[in-house]
Amino acid sequence: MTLNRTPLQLKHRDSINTVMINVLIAAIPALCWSVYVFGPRSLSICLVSVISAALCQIIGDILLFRRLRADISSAVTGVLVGMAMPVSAPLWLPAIASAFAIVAAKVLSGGTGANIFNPAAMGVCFSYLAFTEHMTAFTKPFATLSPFYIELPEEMLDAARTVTSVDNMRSGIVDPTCISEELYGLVPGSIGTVSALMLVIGLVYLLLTRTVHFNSTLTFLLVYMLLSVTLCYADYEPTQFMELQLVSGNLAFVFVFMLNDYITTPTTSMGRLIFAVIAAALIYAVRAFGMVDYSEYFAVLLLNVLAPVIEKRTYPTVFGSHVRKAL
Amino acid sequence: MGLKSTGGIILPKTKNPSKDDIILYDCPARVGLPLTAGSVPTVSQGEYVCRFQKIAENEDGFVTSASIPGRITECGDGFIVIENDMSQKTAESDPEKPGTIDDITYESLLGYCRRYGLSGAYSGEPLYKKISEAYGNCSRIIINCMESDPYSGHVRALVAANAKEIVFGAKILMFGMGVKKCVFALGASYGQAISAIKDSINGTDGMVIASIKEKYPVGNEYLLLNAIYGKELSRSKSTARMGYPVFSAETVFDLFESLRTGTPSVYKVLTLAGKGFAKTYAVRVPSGCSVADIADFIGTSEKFNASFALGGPLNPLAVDRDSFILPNTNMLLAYKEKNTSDGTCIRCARCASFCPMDLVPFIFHENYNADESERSVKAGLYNCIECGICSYICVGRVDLLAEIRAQKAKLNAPDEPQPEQSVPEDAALHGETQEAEEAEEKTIDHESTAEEILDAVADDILTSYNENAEGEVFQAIAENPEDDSDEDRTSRGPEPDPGSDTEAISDADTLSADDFAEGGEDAENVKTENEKDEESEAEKRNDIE
Repeated sequence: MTLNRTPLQLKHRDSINTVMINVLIAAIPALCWSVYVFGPRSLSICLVSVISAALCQIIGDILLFRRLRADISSAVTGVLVGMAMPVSAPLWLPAIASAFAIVAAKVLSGGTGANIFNPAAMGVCFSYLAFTEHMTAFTKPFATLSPFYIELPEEMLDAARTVTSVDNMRSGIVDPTCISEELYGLVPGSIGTVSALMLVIGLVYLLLTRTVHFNSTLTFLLVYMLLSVTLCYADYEPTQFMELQLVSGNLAFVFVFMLNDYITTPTTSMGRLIFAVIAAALIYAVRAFGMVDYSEYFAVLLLNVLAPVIEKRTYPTVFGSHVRKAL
Repeated sequence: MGLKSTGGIILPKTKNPSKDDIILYDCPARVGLPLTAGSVPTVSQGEYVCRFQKIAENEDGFVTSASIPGRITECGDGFIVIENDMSQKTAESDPEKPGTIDDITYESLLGYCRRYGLSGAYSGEPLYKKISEAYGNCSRIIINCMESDPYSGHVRALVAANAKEIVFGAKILMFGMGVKKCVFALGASYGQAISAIKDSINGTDGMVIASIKEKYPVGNEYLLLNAIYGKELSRSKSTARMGYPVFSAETVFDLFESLRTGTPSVYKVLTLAGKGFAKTYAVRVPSGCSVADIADFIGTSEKFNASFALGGPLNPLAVDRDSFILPNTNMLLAYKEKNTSDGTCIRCARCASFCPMDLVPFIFHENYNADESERSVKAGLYNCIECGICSYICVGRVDLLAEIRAQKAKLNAPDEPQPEQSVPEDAALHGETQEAEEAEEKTIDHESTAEEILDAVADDILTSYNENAEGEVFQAIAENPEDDSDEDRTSRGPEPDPGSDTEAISDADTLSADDFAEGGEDAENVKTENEKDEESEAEKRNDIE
């Protein structure tokens, strides 16, 4: 009589792809800016990265006999890996990084939704550890680098090479004049991470579409500001140091695109707040004491391990606070 | 606007049949009446039964009656199936039916509820159980006039057309249970139904209307009480045991009608919806009516072969054409079969943020995949009310409701579910509300005040009963069932004047706002969400209690 099926008649219009497209839209301002600052080579790096990620996803699913889905989450991983690369990187580097991200962090850990670590952070950390030299070759803005060279010639690279403000901060040098340049993104750095302003525009879009949560965003920013004012590690005016901390390096990028990932962060609202506090503290600590470049990505991996622990302790109390043991 | 419950969703608006009449369909080819727990058939296969004849009874004397005349073709296996002979033979009405409201006492009310086989329209549980659970420990009753499912409209239509009967039914309940307060919970936008109930109450002491914000699933009694009283009642006991008996409008209507005519309750009102039907209908059918008969009577779409499901669009349960309408069925869906595929959970936690029971549904999904249903129980599997919001909202297209149902079925497969009494008692209420509640219960001495209340209510009911009891509505029903050919859709109740109808509807919005604003006790109900401070919450509660 009863057929044991629930033929749902109504469905909310949002799907996984809606969420992923929102994330991609949020990345557009930063990508456009990178084309302006670093030239078309930034686009070719992202493109290589996306193609590699998508191919790996499809091949992985076929080899593991999983059903192929029209799922663009691997494209998001590809874009994020590409955005974390310096523009001087050889074109094979983003391909390897996204392949690692998809295969090791996603396909082999159970497919979409089952991964513990953020795939993009895994890809970046892997390529930093394996190809440190290529990953730390930052170039001056507006240095015209050809988009089609697989590997840039040494002399072209050397002519454009420079250091980032995170390096300077660790050496105790704070140049207050560069705060606005950091904000707009007229500084050396990774493709998608240089312009804090463009990333904030993306963040506002994500907040408006309710893809990311307002409470945890605010908590993270407040805790991070508090920490950098009180525990200022450069010999400089704390408020200006705080401003520079917020706009420099990969902080904004990591926060917008990796600490708000659904799969690898806590799902409960209380858990998200606790996670935001711990994330702010950890990222500040690794920036102060850890390695100079890409430390934020390693912090993300550590935080991903903490996420399930936090989540399990913050499940909400059920309605009426009585868990029924029988029907 | 209106009182709000926790969790839940507001679905996009569509047309609903609240303006339509309830269609009476009285001659299904066969009906299947489910045997409630403990019921034993008093008839055997092949026997001939008249309408209203007793066919089963349980140890407490709760009677199941035949809803159509005919021969019994199947008896046992949980159902008694009757094949209609279209003869209109009815058993004689009960000679012991109450003559006046004075005949109603607690014991006689229980007796009537058992004899007339009255059961809850939303829960399907026998009514006498609820009354006996609540008797002596409640100081108010709540009449739930909320739709139980999104896009259903039969409750509104029933209330708008039969407000008098429902108010009388509520008075009978108040009288029998010795309660002096009655709250009618109506959706904030049920304009016609609200004004009908308002007119019928007509200033009766102790009867108030609570206007509720229409969120799905506020038709659930725990969430309804949460909206009205701002309390989270524990799921360890029934709401009736905790002093908040909730009766659905249809149950109260059936109670009144059974007592008036002295015949058992053999009808069920439900909404027909889905793409398979030309539009949304509200129908009144004999209880246990088969799905195929309703579908043939109303007519399903010719473009595709419609499948059927019982329950709302968010929590349907697919059935085949030979299935029967159950006592707790409020919606019949005709839908087009679609291919579904497995979803992927990306742990966005939307299911958790919308769950009205504050559960974390994706945990059930994880446990379902890992085949660890026992862990789901710890996470609150049995607290789930199966509203289906998690399935609706899921971005990964995971059918969470199906997985929850499968886990429940699996856990209960080896043996029957434990009776609810075995559940250890927990803190009945959240936080400080518990103390307030206890204090309130102590102040009300049911024994000493019962006399006064009964006298007051009796006078009131008697006068209004004499004036209105034999209203045109019932005569219309009594006259019409004779000419029920398949093509003839007999609408119940007097034909509403189309002009006044639309006028009433257009009035409804302004009416609910203005009318409520001037009345002191209902003014709180239209407060906005922003004014949800402690004080106004307390006031609201006082008004309704």
